[in-house]
Amino acid sequence: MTLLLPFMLGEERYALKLTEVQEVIEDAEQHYLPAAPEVFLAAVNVHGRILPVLDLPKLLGFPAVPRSERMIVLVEHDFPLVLAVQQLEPLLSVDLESASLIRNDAPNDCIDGVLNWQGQMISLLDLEQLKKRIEEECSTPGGSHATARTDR
Amino acid sequence: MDMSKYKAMYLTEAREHLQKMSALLVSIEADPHNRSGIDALFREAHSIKGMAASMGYQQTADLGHYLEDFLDHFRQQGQITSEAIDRLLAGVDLIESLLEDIDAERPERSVVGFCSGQPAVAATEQKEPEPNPVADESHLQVSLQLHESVASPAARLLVLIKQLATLGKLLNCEPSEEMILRGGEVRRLNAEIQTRLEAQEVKSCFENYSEVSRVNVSAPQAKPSGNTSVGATVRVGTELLDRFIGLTGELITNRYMLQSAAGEKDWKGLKEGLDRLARLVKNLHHQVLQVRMMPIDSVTGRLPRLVRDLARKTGKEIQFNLEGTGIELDRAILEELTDPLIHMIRNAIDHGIAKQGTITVRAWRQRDQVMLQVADDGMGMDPDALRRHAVEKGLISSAQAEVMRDYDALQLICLPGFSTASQITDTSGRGVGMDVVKAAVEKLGGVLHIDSVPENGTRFTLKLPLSVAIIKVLLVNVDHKLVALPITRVLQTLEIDRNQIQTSGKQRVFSHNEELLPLISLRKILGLPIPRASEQISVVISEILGRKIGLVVDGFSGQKEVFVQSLPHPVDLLRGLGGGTILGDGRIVFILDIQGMLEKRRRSGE
Repeated sequence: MTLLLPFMLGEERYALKLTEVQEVIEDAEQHYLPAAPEVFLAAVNVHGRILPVLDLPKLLGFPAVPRSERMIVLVEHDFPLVLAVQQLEPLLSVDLESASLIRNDAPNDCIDGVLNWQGQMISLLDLEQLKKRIEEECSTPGGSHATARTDR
Repeated sequence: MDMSKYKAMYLTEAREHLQKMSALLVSIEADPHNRSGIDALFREAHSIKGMAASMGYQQTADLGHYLEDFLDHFRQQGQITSEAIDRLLAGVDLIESLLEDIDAERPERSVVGFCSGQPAVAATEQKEPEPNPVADESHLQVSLQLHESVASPAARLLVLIKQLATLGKLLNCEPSEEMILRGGEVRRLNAEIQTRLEAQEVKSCFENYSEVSRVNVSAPQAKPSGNTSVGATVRVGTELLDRFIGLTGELITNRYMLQSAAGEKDWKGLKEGLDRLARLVKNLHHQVLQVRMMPIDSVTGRLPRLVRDLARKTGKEIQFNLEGTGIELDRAILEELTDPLIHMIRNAIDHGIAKQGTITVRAWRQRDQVMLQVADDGMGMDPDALRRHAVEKGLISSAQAEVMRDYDALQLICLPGFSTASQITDTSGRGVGMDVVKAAVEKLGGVLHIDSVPENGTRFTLKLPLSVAIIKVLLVNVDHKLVALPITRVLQTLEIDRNQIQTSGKQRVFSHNEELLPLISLRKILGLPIPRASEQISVVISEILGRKIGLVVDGFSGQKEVFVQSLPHPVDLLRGLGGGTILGDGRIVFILDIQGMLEKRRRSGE
């Protein structure tokens, strides 16, 4: 059995494996992160470590959804990053071996596969792809979005 | 006994011995009767032999033994020939190559040829790592993917690992057997094996397995050269370690004091305990930074050899002096200095010195900074020629060239795309150098100054912070936010009156010490809203690409010493950010690299 942490983006349900998550933080104070592409919202202090906050809805094309106060901190040694999402949902325990999982071959949408769980479609986030997308954002001058944010 | 954990230590120490050997050889070459030098050389070869033998690196040990024998002859005579020095230097190069082999987990190359007296050239030619090491066995990277439908993938993977192990020596495996046994989702296996088989043969072994959906076999990616891949090691004096232990003891005592004071609600005791804690932490901090300090010798040590080889290659007669090699710097800074230093020395030999001359590398402390200078007494640079060249290359306008001071004209050589070398030489390449040198120095929070007098030599002076971990910054306000600028990048701060601003074309400028400086708004660079200018404008004068600019900010919030955190990957790829820091009140402030940001804007076509 695999534990999943599901969260909503717009009408769609996404999930991370719990093993990919270090913790969930609440009401973290957000600080100005200058000179960064628009997909970064801010920087937060997680136990003394400065981590950037990725605006996942924006990166995946849901610019208008609200962002939850609770944010997901990814496991430090792989990919130290905080993800802002629309809304977190209770954990799910899923048998990925027997669940019907549709592998996703589209290269660029950061989805590893789509899981049909009791009639609900859950998209599993592909952190490797996400990392590549962010690397691209960070290494193109000015990012593929605009150069810098104006609010916050 | 597993020796692998001592490998990094061995490599570091062996490289230090080699560096000493090179330096000794170069100095003995100038004074062949230097008996104590020859003795010292003998001892270095002996140490390398002993270390290599105890680690089981047979070829290195054999070569060390050979060099020792070779030297023994001259030790008895009390003098050495220049042919022998060439041969010994070739031997040093060969050991260097052997260390590279060991570092890259390749089998050591054979030294039999060298020891039986083949021309020394063969050894230096081998220095470039060959794509296929001359050995029967090669390393292969194997990745296997199981079909989605396979039941109990863990058991299948274990079988596959066993199969891999029969093909050759299994070097590493991801996930490992233990990880698979612990359970979890695994359908992919990445392994590295050392085998006599060809990639195609290995591949066909696995294509017969029905559960395997994809097999990929390739030569492993070459490791980045140098010893960056291995976790760097430092040797720490026992005296310093004792001080750490003492401090730890005091901290433990302090904790009990605080606990008991808290238990008894003894506010005075708590206050005293906290004061003590603050003092202990400050002390600890200081001592920890001390561990990172290394003498500058660790990078300048290899320079005498470099100068000798380059002098010989270019047929010039060069005297090389090193001064202040005991000055200490943060090891992170030293590591970044190697390439810039080599580059400046190559420049000096190639373009500075015509036929014969002196190059001096000197280091000294100046308050809380370290100065490092590369000086030559060669032809020097002509500011007028540099101006003309920059205009020809379209780097500056002829109007800019006319008003440019001589000092500023010299800094033009740091502009990307500027090269005065009329021809490309083997020594300093295509003139892609000084911009890279300057960028490297500034990345460390340092400053590069160039001064030169025609016919009287050129001096490159690097002003460096002692440590990269703690730097002094100027906090500035912009749009109700706080950002920091490294103090080394700040020449001056001032408030100017709005009516002091003039316009020159599209550019706003202001007059400062009889010089017109362009004004650049930090808000604009950061993409923040720009309000109407107020009566008083706060300006930071900084130098970017050799040119002074005025950076307009909303206000100043003082100077602070801060502990810099590097940013996690991939955010560290962002140009314009030099790390972040957490202030005492918990606020996160980022340190801006103005030059990086301006370059980024220029490249994204704004």
